Amino acid sequence: MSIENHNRRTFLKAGSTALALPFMESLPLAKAAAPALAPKRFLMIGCGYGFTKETFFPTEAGRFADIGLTPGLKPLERHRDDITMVSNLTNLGATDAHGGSTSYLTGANVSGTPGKRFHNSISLDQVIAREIGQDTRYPTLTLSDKDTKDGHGAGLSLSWSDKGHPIPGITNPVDLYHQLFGQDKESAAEREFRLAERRSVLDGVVTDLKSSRKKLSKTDQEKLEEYLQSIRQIEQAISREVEWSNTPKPKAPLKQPKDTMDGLAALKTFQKLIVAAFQTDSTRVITYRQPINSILKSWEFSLGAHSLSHYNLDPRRREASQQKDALFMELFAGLIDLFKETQDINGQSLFDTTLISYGSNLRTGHGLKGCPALYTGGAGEKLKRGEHIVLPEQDTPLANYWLTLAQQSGVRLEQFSHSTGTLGELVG
Amino acid sequence: MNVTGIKLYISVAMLALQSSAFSATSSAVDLDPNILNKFVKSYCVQCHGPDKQKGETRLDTLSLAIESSDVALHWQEVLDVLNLGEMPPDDEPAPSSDELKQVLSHLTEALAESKKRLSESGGDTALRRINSREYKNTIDALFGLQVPAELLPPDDIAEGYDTVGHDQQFSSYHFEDYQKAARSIVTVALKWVDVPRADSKRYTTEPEERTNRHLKGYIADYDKKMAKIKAGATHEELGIDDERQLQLFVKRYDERAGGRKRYLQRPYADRGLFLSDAGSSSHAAGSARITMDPRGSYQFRFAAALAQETPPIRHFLKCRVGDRTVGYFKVDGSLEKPSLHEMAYRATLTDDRVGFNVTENRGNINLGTYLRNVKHKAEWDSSIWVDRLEIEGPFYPKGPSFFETHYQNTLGRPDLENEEQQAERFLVGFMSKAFRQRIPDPEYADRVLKIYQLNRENGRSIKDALMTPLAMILSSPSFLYIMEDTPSNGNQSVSEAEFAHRISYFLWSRPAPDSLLKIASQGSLSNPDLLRKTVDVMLQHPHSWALAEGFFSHWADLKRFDEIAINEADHIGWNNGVRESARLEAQHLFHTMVKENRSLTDLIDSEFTVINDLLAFHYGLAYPDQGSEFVKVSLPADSPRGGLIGTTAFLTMGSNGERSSPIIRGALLMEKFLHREPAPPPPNVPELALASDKPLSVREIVDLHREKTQCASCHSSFDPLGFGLENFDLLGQWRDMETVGNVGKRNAKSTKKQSQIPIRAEGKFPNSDRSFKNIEEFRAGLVAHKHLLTRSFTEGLLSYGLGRHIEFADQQAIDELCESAANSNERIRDLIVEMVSHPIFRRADKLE
Repeated sequence: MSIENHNRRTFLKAGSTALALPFMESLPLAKAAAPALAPKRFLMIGCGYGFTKETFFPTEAGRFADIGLTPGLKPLERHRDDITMVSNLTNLGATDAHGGSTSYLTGANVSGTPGKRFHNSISLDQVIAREIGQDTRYPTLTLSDKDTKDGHGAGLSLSWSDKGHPIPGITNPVDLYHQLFGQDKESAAEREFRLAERRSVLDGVVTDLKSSRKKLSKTDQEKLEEYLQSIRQIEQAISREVEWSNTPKPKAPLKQPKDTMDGLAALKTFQKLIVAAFQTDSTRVITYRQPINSILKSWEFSLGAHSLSHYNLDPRRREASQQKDALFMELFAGLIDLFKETQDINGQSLFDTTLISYGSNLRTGHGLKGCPALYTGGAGEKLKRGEHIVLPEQDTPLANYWLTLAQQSGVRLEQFSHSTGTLGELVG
Repeated sequence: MNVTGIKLYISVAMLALQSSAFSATSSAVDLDPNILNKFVKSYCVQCHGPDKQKGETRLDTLSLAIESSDVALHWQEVLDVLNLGEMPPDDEPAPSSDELKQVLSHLTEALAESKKRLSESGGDTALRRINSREYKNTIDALFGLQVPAELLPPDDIAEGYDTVGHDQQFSSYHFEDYQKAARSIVTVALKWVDVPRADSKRYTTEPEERTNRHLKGYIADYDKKMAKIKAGATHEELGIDDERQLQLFVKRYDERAGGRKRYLQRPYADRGLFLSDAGSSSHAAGSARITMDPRGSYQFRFAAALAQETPPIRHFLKCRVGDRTVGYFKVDGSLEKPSLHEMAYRATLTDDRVGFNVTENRGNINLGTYLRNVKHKAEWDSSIWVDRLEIEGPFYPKGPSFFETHYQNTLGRPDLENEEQQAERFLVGFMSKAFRQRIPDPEYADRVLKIYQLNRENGRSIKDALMTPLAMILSSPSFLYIMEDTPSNGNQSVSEAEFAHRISYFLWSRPAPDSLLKIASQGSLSNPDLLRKTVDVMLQHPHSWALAEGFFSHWADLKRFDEIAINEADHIGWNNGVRESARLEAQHLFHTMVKENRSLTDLIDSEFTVINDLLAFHYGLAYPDQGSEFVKVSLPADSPRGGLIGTTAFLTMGSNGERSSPIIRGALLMEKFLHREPAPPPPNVPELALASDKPLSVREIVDLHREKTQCASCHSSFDPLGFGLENFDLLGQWRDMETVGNVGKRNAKSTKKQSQIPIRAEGKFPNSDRSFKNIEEFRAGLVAHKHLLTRSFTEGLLSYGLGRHIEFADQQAIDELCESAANSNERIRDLIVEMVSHPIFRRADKLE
């Protein structure tokens, strides 16, 4: 498929009209595919600040087996034939030079939407979950970090609701463990009472809302709409809880993590729990806003993530930045190992049924053009693996990349965010 | 366009009217034709003009008045390609560096301003939710209970004040968090609501008892095993893994059991506890754990002494409850005559079984490294000895809380016949109070009561049945949002009661107290003199601390300070004690200015500062000797301290965590003291080329990054400003010399040689001839621009108070307030009184 004119102004103009509407809601989404098909899974990792320009990004296109891996990607050597790097992508709506994640999965026109100081829209994981998230206990899981200086920008996680509100992520591995595997002790009658009471509470607060808003100004009434929406969402969540109330949570395939984990230990535990969540089919869509500073601290770096991103001031900074790249890729390689070692409930390799993406809006320093985009996993059977693909046009919209990955992995989606088409170059 | 040339546009005189610098009449921002026409004609129109429109772009007809988002987008695109260096192309004539700088700077500022204007809402205040500070204080006003911050959903990350409704968001996660917090609150409130107030008691702990018993047990056990080994016992018999481990066990006798024996033999070890990290003792001394009454306060007391001669940085203790630090103490007693320390602690609602412990205040790093770095040379690591920890309490505030009284008047007098009516009176009375005098809808009240009945029918006790209804009230819109009705009778002001709450949430971050509501109900807030007097009195009340905690923390950007990470191994003077105290110092400085009605210029230069013992040590000032309290101290005439700009909080946030950053300091100074907010850094500007390998001074690094025109267009205005504070290092300590070299990953193989060079604190004010050579001249320069500080401060305060962004249409009110401030020597309490008295503060939203 070809990429049509996607210059920035066209996008921003389109963004200011069409995208201001929650168009995803009006888009007809096909009902979930026949359950006989093996489930597909998505993991999207956002890494905040970018990488060392000179030593991370390959320049030559081709199979890694032929062109070799750059020093930054070298730790992925054992997965060389399974990873793909795509060059020339840009997230067109992103303008924050310190914000690698705010619109990474949304493609929204963050600061240029008329009448709004800040704008965001639904993220890819939430869109995908509408189709493939309906058969699991949790439609999606959102994991995040506590740090705010990791180059992620505004937001609480990679995920944003259909109204463009930030979705908070789970930041402590033990909380995720409890959500996935914690057994509740209440009886059926107790649960029934609790849910009935909750429904009455929701009806009650809506009564207050409706009677109060009559006398308020228009702007005030609009503000209350957010509250109403959130109550509606909780009502849906209760329905889901009722649906799942007779299905016990799966047995945990790993021990309960310690409560006080931090830095590297927390990240590695999150990796194991992500795999466990997929393995037990508790969810099929996960996003993870990965920390940097707490990890650098575990590795005893004396510089923070932002200072490292400006590595050109000093050769030692550059050396540290390169070390950081390689160490993070080693962690990523370890995660891929876990996926390859694990089988899902149908006895299939978890790796072969999952699409894993890794990246950020930020390429290097303050640069937003040509953002890093890595993917691996076998969910998209036709997606090329084991090579560096250079797209013919600079600043190809990142949304096209997301649309391609989703479609190829079996999600029926005709358009995503500001996408102008799909990327045929990725399909072989 | 009222601006005729670049000189006028950038002159400092115009900066006074910065927001109106672009246009005085409409919401459009006008670009200056003198800057743009020539540039566009010389470098752009050949390809983007009447003849050719490459890339479908034509610039000669593009409007200079940025009146719509469309026009703004066009110009943004122009700015982007200029920043990227993509235009003009290499084979076309290029503008000079100065020409480019001027255009970049002008476009950047104009587009930033137009972005603000294009998102204006016409002065309407979007409905605002009480933020976490207001929530905590509101709960205090209703229940007399302290909510710990971790119970509440965090406030949104937004550019504006935490009171601005427009920037707040609400999602299902917020609702769930509020439900959870409310449940915790009402569970505790109901548990204690009819518990009689207890007499205060003392709980004393001798900290050495437990430790010494433990040490003696350890030694006896070791000795017993050694005796068995001597008698020929094998490793299996002793439960030791193998023969090698057994050998090691014997070999370590002196280190392990011997060390503990020597500890116990030290004089005073039998009377108190030496704080030590070595295996021989314990690094913290803990009090008894007691069940605290959440309605009360407690006194913490302990005795302490210096264990031996150690560096003064090791003379400080911190007092903790759980993992929260609640106070810092300087120890100066001797073992013969220990010093006595005391502090008050207000219980929180999650303090179930709690006590306090004291431990040395120091960097969170390995003890060996720490001792080496502070040049501690003694053979024995302990610095402080602690004895006799005591908790006394509870001590209660004067009267019962609203919740207690209201409960006593209804359900507190059980009447089984009329239980339902009692419950109704209780719940409806509570919701009216919680809803800030708004009368709840009868259907809503019905639903609340139904849930109570449902619980009773299911066999719950009265108190248990009240939990969900009360938690529901505290999660309802009428509680969570500060609602103000749109006046229906064409009135342009909010009602008396709404005005009272507006004032109270502004000054105290809590609902209007009954006394203020009474004044309001009598219509007395419409009497200008009474209103002034009321506001003035409220500002002198301790509750006005909320203004320091809320408004000032945001105005001064203390969040930035919170986010700076400093390596405590490399910077030995830095630890959590200094960090937390420094944050409080900035707030206390402001609070003192309000209490004493001082001039705003105290933010630039004050004759006092407000510190505790720990900061006195950090600054090298005389100890105020007030325990953990912050006290106002006069500064010696030759002290470089004074003002917000002389505080560690301000100076440290003006660093990058490894060294001072004149760039960040300059940007902060320009925004706060010169009322000119620098635009955010543009994306995609290519990084600088690799710098030379020779060690660079901060000044050289800063100069280097201005070599690129795209950077210099903004940075040349504020970087030079930041050098005024260059004599303060990243910890806010004074220095005459700077150390250069040594950056990168710690333990890197190649370490640069360090060298010392003298600091040059010279620079200039942006777009003015005024320059400075040292901190005194720098301060004088800021004072000469004090009208800009007044404006920046007034706009911030009004935005905080009204809960909305300041808009173009507010300029007249701001002008009036600034003028009146100038006439009263910028006295801060007077300024706030004027603001509340101004019609803008009472204006209601339009019906529309």
